[in-house]
Amino acid sequence: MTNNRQALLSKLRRSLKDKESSEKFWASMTKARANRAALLAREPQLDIHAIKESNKALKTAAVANTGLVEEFAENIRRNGGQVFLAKTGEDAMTYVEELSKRVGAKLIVKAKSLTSDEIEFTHELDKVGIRSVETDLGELIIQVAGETPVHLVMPAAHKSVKQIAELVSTAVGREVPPEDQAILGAVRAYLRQLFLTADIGVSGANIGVAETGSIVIETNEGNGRLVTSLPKIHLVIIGMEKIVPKWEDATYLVKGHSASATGQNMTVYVTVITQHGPLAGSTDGREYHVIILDNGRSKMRDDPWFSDALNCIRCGACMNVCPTYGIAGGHTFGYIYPGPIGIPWTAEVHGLDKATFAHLCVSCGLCKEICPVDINIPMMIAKVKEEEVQENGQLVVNDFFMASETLAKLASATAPASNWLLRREATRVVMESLVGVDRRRTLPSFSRKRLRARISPLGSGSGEAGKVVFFPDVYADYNDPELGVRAVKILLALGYRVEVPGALRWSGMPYISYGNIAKATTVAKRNLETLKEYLDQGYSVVSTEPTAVYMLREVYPTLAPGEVAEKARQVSFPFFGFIQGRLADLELKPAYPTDEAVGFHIPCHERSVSGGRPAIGFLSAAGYKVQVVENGTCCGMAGTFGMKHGDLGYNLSMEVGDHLFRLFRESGRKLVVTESSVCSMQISDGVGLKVVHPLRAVEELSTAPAPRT
Amino acid sequence: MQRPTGAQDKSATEIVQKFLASLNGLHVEARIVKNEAETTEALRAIVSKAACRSVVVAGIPPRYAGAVTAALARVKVDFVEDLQKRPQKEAVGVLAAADAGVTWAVNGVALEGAILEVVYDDSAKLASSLPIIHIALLEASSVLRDLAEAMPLVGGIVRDAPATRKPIISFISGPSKTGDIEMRLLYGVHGPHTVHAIIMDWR
Repeated sequence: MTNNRQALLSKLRRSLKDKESSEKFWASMTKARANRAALLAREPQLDIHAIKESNKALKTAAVANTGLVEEFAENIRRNGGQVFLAKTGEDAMTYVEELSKRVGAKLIVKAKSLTSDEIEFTHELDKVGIRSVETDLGELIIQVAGETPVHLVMPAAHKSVKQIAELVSTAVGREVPPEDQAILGAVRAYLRQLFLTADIGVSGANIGVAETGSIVIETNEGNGRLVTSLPKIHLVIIGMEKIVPKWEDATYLVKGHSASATGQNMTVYVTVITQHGPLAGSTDGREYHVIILDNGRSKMRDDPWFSDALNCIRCGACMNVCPTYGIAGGHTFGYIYPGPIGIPWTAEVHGLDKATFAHLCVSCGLCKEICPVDINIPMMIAKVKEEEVQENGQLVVNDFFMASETLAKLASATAPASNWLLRREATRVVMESLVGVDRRRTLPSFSRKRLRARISPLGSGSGEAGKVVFFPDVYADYNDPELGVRAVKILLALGYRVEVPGALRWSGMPYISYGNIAKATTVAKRNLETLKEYLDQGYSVVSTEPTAVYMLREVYPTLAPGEVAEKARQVSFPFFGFIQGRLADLELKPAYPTDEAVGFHIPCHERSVSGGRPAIGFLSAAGYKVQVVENGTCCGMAGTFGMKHGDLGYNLSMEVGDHLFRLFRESGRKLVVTESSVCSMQISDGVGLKVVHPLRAVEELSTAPAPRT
Repeated sequence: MQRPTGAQDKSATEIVQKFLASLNGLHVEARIVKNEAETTEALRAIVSKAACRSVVVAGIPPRYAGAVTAALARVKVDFVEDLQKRPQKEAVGVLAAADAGVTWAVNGVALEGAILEVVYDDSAKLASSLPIIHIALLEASSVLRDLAEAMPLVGGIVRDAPATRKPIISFISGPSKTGDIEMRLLYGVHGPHTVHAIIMDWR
């Protein structure tokens, strides 16, 4: 195993052992999600989807516009500022050092700037004896601790008030008690003196507006306003991707950023600076410098896989929702840039060898769903994984799960012997040591008679209501074909013509999870080829497996772009979403008691597709009261991830799951319903409750219409 | 494209009421005053309740200067416009020592609950940054619906200013705050601990 992978596993082990920090960090992420959700609930008119759409369009165009940097720079110069285009972080720091030497700077005060963190600003200046002090409270805490930010927006989210008091005591040189107000008072007094005496104030910028050469800075603490006014020199470090053409563009970037970062309509201060103006009537010695940083960004822009990362507005929402980041924290799940978006950024600006933490991603896709610029973070992560694997080789267990379809075929053909074998402890011990499948995980059994054989007596249906390709994926074909039968019977009863094309393969999700984009593309193309003739005839595609629909909607269009993928994206539906308008035509009888509510779990891959609402509607129509039990993130199973042995698998999976298990236990529900086959295994293993698919929560339709093919 | 901030056409009164509600929800102590006497009284009450001894004042238009001067009759007052004639260090000293800053806001932003400050000298920006109390005055008629309406105006102000005298613009929506200690929302970090808005609807 490579040193980097070894280091990742050691860090992960430490994170998993340190329950106290992990609990604290998880609680912070939960609160961050709740803050955002509360804002969206409080301000129903705040249309986050329209903001996403608007931001995606304008950022994509701005990033591709190579003339913007020059326009921005030219306007700064016209207003009297000095501009330096830094190709690398080293170039930027050389400029800062020369500037500091020229003006004899002894003290620099800094507002929060992730771009300056990227080039290790304070560390580099330390080396040449120039004191640079972070003035954002969180950044100050980690500067004194000698750490990197654990989170983009909340850099010290992992520290307790006691630890913070100790660090602040070190900074201010006297003992500060572990009380909020005492800490704030001490920091205010200490930094006030530094603001008043600093030679250079450094800030980042959330947005650069090319048409006037202005920057927009969004802050809450007020340090940004002092850093940009009191010192004689204001130095801005801005990544070239932050520049947009016009003022009008800034509105929704500001809205999307504050809503996603902290659940605010706007940060307390949104400051617009265009030059370093006079202070008390005097411009004597006042200089304005803007470093526009490239540091790998041009390369990213020209790379179709990674240009999307440049659309990031650094809100940190992807971190708040990422299940494994929530356990591991940003020092394990990160280099300098932490979390999901930190994976492509690290690989591109700091190097692939620093981005090994990509393997902590479980491909739940929630980062894309929450992103206010709709960045396709999961696909970029898959690409980073692929590059890392090409460099360092694939894990045996990942290869094993990427062969799931073939293995399922084999297990199904040899059932029930295969099931007997898989239930034996001895088999599982061998599987664990040879392949890396955790023996503690309950595996599903396999069915010898597959879906197509079971539904052939039912016929293809009349087609008076429409035509449907049923996409079973692995589970409803090899493991529980009866589930597929139930779905098909309902579709037939509603008057659809139903086909399950023999050439249709599995959806191929593990290829994305474990970084084999080549194979994922092959399977996507193959499936789209199979679907093409049906799509041409007006068929819709329907699946009971959330991941299959997720692949068709979110992944195939990127893997195999073109008309067929686009068409498939538009007409692919989760089973319950497809039939939701026809529930009145079905006689649904509950298979379990309805006097008590059932607990409902929303699978991650269903969130972006339907949010689980149609399945809830289905259960309600069958007479159930439904209680959604959730914490806004993943159950931890993440496909096959939770079946893998050890920390980077079962252990991490159960640690993530534990937070959801507790909610299920507290809910007092006796029956759990979820659409995903793998979430079902996780909740069943974790809570010990009976977990069923919504189709198994109702009595099977006794009769289907007679075949009329 | 539809407006993602969701502003609908609203009457002026509704907009001001929304502004008031938004500000109050953001820990800004906001009130509407109807005439000069009410303005003076509102400002006097804030300064007296907080036991302010020195106040810095920035950018108040002549129409309202009388009300402000009358309200601050019993405290030490420095006008930022006068400070700009004194040595820089001395001026900053006065700003840093002041108990409160009284400043002018050119606009209010109803939906987001922000006030818009446009200044041309950093000493005026410091009047709303350094003291523990910030009191902003603005006209009710200046309140805009939302950020989507305000941002193009900001762009216009920046564009139209000569290259040698660009404005320094700040949206301010509450006291300075942080969540950096165990994610607890705490007010009063480097900037003001309390923010007041006096919305003048003189008839």
